[in-house]
Amino acid sequence: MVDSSDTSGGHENQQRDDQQRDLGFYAIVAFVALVATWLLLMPWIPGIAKQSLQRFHLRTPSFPVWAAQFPIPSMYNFANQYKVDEFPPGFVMMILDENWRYANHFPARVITFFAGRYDFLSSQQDRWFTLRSSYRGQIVESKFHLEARAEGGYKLIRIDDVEDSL
Amino acid sequence: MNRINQIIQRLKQREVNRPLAAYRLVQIAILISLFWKWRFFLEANSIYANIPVEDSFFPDWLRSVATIRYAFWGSALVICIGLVTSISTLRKTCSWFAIGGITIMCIHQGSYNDMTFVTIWWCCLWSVWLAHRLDTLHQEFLIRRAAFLSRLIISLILLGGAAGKWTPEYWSGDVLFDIYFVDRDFWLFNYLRDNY
Repeated sequence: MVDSSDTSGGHENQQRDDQQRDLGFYAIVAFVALVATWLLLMPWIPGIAKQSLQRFHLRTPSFPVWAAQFPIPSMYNFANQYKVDEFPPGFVMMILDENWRYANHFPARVITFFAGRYDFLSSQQDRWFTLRSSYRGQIVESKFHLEARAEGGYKLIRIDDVEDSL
Repeated sequence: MNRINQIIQRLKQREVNRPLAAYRLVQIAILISLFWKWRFFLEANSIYANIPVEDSFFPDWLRSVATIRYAFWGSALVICIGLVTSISTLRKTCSWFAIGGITIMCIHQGSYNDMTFVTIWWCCLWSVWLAHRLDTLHQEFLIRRAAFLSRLIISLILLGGAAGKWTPEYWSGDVLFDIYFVDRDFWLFNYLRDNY
């Protein structure tokens, strides 16, 4: 005869074993905790905000480091602005230099995503993009030259004299 | 709430495998989310082919429109197979391929960090874990853990949205006003613009 308390004990032991073997569960919890810590520290630690702002401008020093940050949710983060010019910076002084618009996030998508490519790069003529993102007093500004290529499409050139106040 | 409890009781009485049901429900939700981006996919497919942007920051294969095509359709296919199969090994394999495909979408030049894909990626991570746990005997214990993880992931995604708005430009309303109310052509914003 099987004692019901024995069965219950066996059941609990098996459950405990299962629990201990479930490394995947603990790995996901730890990963979530890591990402949450990063996000919670972002308003207070300028270095984290700097990393994130650079990520938004595709200016992270290396692609693998940039790509590794993709699981960090960043929906509508930072105040991101962009402007698109038909002339290189300094070539023509605009009378009213007020064509800045806000982008919801990742302002470089104005260049890389389908809507921006269609709106700004359908003409097959050179364009200059300026992106500006700010977060709690930190500002990153980046300039890109989209050079039209004879065979179609564009070559993206990062203009070196980027300004930031990180 | 009573109605939900009644449904849960009925499911328990019929001995439905609730973790498996949850797994399948999430796969359906992932598929809906993927095809929610159908217009994005169609336009991206055409525009990326016609207006390529050469940028040395991205590896060549992560700029190619073919990569997005394979990642999108490959992910959709393996999620469908994972949804309907009753073979555990196949389900596990599909869950890995799905997270692989969505990872590519999350780092491709033409679809990177889109919140739909990032959210799907977290759901795929949850699915990989659950696919490997479905064979365990303790369904009630497993479903509680699955529910806990899903709440944790939802909280993280919302935290990500909140942390980045902790800046004066959002508090003043400038950002949201410019993005949504200045000229965005959507019925709700058109209505608000016309009436207020």
